[in-house]
Formats: sequence, C-alpha cells, structure tokens
Amino acid sequence: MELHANLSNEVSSERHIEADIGGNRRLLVMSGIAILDWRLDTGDPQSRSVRVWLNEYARELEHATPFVGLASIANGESEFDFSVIEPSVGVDPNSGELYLDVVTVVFGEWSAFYRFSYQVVALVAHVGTTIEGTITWPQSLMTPPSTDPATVAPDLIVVANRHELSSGDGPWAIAEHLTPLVPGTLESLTIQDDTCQAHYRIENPPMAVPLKVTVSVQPGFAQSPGAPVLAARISGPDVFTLSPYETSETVDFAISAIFVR
Amino acid sequence: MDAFPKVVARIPVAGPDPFNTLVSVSQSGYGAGTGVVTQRVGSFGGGWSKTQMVFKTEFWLIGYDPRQRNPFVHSTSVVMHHMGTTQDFAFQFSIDDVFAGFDDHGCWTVIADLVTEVPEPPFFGGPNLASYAPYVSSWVLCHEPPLEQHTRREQDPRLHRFTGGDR
Repeated sequence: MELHANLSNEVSSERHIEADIGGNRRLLVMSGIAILDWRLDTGDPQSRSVRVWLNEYARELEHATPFVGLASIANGESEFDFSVIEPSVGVDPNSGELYLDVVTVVFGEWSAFYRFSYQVVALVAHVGTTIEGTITWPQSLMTPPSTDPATVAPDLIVVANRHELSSGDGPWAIAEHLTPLVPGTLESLTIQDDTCQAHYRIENPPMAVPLKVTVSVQPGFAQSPGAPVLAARISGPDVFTLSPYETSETVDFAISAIFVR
Repeated sequence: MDAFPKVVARIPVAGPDPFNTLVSVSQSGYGAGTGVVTQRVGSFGGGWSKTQMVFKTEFWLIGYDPRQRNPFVHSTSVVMHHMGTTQDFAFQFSIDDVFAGFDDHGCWTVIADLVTEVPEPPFFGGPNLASYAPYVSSWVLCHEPPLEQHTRREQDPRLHRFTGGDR
C-alpha cells in the first residue's frame, strides 16, 4: 500500500520543516497521520506493508530516525492486536523523494486499523536548484542607458511557473495553466553591435514539479500598433522537471516584434 | 536522576530567516498527568464522543511578546501512548487531526481532535470507562533572543555589587 503526504485524503495533519544546520546540510522533520482505513474480521494476524511518500527530496540521506504510533483503532468486543512496526526511511534512487516504510499488523473479530501517526527526522545534504539563460533583443526595440541590469529589470519579468494541463470538452479540449512559483533576477547585461543580451537566474525552484519559464515584456520596450513585442523560447525545454540528479536547466529567449496582419 | 525530565532541546540553526532556533519537545500526557482522555458512559448514552485535547507542553518561547507576531513553523505528531477499557466492550479511539501553536503566554500548545466510541453499559452494570493518553512530539523552528544578550545583562556593572564582586 502506498500513501502520499501531499494528498490530504491519504495523509492528514501533514507538516514539515527544514532547518539549515550549516555545512551545506539540512535537517528535515516530516509528520502526519497516515490513513489506512483497513477493516477486517479474522482471528489470525494479518500484516500489510505501507510506504508513505514524504514529498521531500534529497540526493543523499545521511541519517534518519522514524517515529510511529497508533492514531485510530477500533475493535468489536473480541481479542485484538494492533501494531505498527519496523519503521525505516529511504530515498528513491530515481526521483530522490524520501519515503517511510512500516509494517502494520491487525487481528480481531472485528478490528479496524484506520490511521497511524509518524514523524521522521532526517539529515540530508542540501541540494540547490537553478534555472538560468539569456534574453536577447535588438536595440531597435529598447536601448538600455547602461550595462547595469537594474535598468532593464522592470521591463523583463522572468518567472518559473508550475505547468499543468487540463482537459475539457470541445475543440479546445486541453488548456495550459501556469502558476507563478519563483521569480528570476537579471544578473548581467551586455550591449554589442545592435544586440542586447541579459542573463537571468532563478534560484531554488522546486523539484518534482513540471516547470515552465516565462518572460513577459513590459511597456519599456518599443510598442507599435499591430506589432506586439513578445519573448519566445529559442533553446532549452518548454516544460521540464528538476530532481536531485538534474538540479539545473538552461532556457534562452529572444524578444521580437510580432507583425499581425 | 533529575527531578524534572528534560523534554525540551534547543538547537541553534543558521536559518532559514527569520529562524535561529530549532526546538524539539517530546512529552507523554500519561506521565505528566495531563492530557489523559477518559470517556465515562453511565446507564444511558453511549456512542460517539468528539473532544479536543489541549496539551500544554513544557516549551516556553523565550522573549515571547503577545503584542507581536512570533513567527514559527512546526512538525508535530501525536500518537496513542496508552489505552484501556474497564470492561470487555467494543471501542474506537481516534486521533483525527493535530494543530499546534503558542498560547497567549508563549507556551507551546498542541491541540488534537479526538473521537471515542464506547457503548452503553448493561442496565445493572457499572459505567463503561475508556481512557487513552497521547504522546506528543513537536519540532519547532522559531526565533529566540541569542544567549549573548542574557550574558551581557548579568555583566551589567550596576548589578555587579550584588554578585559579590566588589568585596
């Protein structure tokens, strides 16, 4: 049986904290009430392995201490046993997500093992994530007064967004939904010949979330009727997901006026 | 053996802002004599009982000011540390939800939504009693004044003569 800490119908009262303890290490504490809803009627002990995906990510798990206990049990006037035993913590080698494994044991005529509580304390190596890239445009659209990136920052809004697709009826069955998550900053600006180029960086976007970077161009760029000025991706992935094993991505953009007839 | 069990551990941390302290507090309601939940069902009644357990821990935030926002984040777990019934009857004990925060005096307080089901006793029998005790474990990221401030206050020269230093 698998449960997910980020789903409230599988884990209630989910809480987690992350403390910087120095030395590029983090202390994670994750707790919740795992919802089994396991009801049976038997005189023989039955066991079930349960894995709780903790929705926290790490490349290297140094130490972990799991703590588990009963949270919700019931019995119908019979002999009974309720156990939550053998807790252990691991990290998925592909996604880097931490998980808690336990074994639950029940018997009774009847008995119900509805929930157990857990708290995991884990020491992990900090894994930082970054997205970076360039934004290029011709001077005819906007000429910065200097190579200070602050002079163009108000006119270039860079954001890492959560990317979701929703399905519906009709010809526009699939719609793209973007939720802004982490803003970017402009780190440098170069002006050469007729071209300007800004370098942006987005620090610590989340892992395990489909991301899409957008650049919105503000009115500081030359606008003319019928020719909106837009930033389009010219290299790098449109949508991507970061993990402890792929912690960075590069996406480049170019700004141009789009002539509409 | 200590007269008072040490159930609160304070760990200095570098962040994230604005936090500088990680506090771990673990307490059993049974041992502390508080937080033991008892449902008593007499000749009438029985069935479901919903209660909210308010568990005052021994963690008090240093420098707590009720007029100001005292930022914190936490991870809190409540489990059944003890359970028992006085008769052979069907039961349910549940910890459904857990909340936590500082009360108006800066005491770390854990609140758990509890559900108990105990049947009505036989007509000529005594009451049905069911009790259970929680064990609470909280980890709290918070901000407390650095220890150096207290040390400086002790070294205030106006207080020096009371410490025997002038003699």
